[in-house]
Amino acid sequence: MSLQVIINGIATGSIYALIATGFALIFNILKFSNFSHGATMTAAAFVAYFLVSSKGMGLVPTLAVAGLAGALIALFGEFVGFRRILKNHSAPTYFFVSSITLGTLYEGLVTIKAGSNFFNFPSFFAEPTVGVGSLVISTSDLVMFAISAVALLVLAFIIQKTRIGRALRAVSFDRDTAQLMGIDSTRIIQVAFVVSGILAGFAGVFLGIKYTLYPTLGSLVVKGFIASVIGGLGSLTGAVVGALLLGILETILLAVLGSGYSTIAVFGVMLVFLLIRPQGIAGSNVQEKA
Amino acid sequence: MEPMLKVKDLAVSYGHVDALRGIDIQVEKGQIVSIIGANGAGKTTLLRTISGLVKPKAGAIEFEGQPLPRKPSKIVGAGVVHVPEGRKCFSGLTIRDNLLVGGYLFKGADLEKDLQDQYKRFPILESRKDQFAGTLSGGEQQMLAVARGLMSRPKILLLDEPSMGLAPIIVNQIYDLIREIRDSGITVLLVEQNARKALGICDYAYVLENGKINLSGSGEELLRSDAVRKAYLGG
Ligand SMILES: Nc1ncnc2c1ncn2[C@@H]1O[C@H](COP(=O)(O)OP(=O)(O)O)[C@@H](O)[C@H]1O
Ligand SMILES: [Mg+2]
Repeated sequence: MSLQVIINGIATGSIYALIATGFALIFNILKFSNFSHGATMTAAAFVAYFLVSSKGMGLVPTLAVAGLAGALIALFGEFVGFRRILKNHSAPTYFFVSSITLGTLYEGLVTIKAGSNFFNFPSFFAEPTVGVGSLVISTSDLVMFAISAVALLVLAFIIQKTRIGRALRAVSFDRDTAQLMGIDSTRIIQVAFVVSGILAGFAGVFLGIKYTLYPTLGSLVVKGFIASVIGGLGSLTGAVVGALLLGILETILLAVLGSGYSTIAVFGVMLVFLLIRPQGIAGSNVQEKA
Repeated sequence: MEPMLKVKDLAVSYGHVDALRGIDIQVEKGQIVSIIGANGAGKTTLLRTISGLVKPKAGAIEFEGQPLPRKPSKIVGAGVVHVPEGRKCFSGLTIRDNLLVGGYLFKGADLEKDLQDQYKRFPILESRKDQFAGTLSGGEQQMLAVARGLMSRPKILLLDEPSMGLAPIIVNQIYDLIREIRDSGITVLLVEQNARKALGICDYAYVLENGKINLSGSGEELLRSDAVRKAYLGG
């Protein structure tokens, strides 16, 4: 196996890691799967494309706008889609319905604006590749990996070391008890949605750079979902590890089997893995509500 | 003098089921007041209503002469701190993080000082501060839950069955701790099924039965009362 393939795999995996952690953050705190996460990625990436990239601005402003758009969309979703359901202790099915409805809404709005066309982000980099020794790495892969890694390290620091991060962990563990410590759980849930939205915005742009931008791009969220399940639902570290493994596995299978069979093989391997170890790598025993 | 905490004609229901009706309770500053009652009497519901987790159907709660805020986070800020039934330590957080979460409303040097105070009071917590709370024994978790509550700087501490499931020797330690807390100037509202213990320590007590206060009096009075002896002290 060439080192080249592994490196490509890690680059892809780091994008999946952004998706998986954004997804897992909300799962941790609400104990349900936010099925609007994929459409949030797409919508945020399109907002950044139309407002910034298509006007010739570079990657940094694009990511800033995508992150901001993702955060606002996620906040809107929290308020419209989830807060009332949470307050009323409604059945988990309602989370399922409202998150899917929101996702369909976002995707519909994007389609109205964009049609079913494909859009290309301008090439953000002067040199398409960089050579490291005998390796040739695509500049965009390298930059996307670096930015994802920094974003995830910052997130890890916030969650482990800061006051707001401790509150996030406490609310994820036991919302009622956290409130008894003076924590405003609604505010903390909003913070989780904002962070998840920023990660979705970044991931949307990166997927757009890698695969072009189109209204159903968000369906790639399933990769993040698989990664967080493999990692062990409820564990952010597990989600990152699962995402990197998935990225590497995909790239290897693509190199060995070609594009047709590799997709099927990836899902096959994942199913077998989950049969053997249903609790995932991290193995926490969170019960899924929806 | 005005009582510190005053619960007036409080009623709570879960859907169509009434859990509390016509509850009147007063807690004087600096005292330990107990509420005893059997399983399902409504003790936890009462504490959860005071701390804002459950919304009352009717009635009022006053603290230091003012209506108590309605949001749990504001209630803690006012100095009403609830240590829940079953400890509810954040088992996947370290002991240190549990304590820091307890001190969520405070920052910087204040928070650090409170943390050191709790370590001084509970050396076992300091020696294991980087371990997950889930690794502590039941008694140690109860200590942690109380210490975490103290980190919120309570004026009044609501304790829900702190002796539940603990060996008698540990229960005695917990009760020594409750006395110590009262002596440090913090008022205590203590909810217990363990009537003998709770009546032995308190200045005043209420008996809660099927969501209603049926009896009240000083600890000694209730320990001597026939009704209490029959129902709660095994004759
Ligand atoms: N979340 C809830 N939903 C419905 N009924 C509840 C709930 N919590 C408690 N109850 C009911 O309210 C009554 C009082 O319960 P609780 O306050 O827990 O009593 P205690 O703490 O004295 O054991 C019981 O009949 C219990 O079944
Ligand atoms: Mg109870």
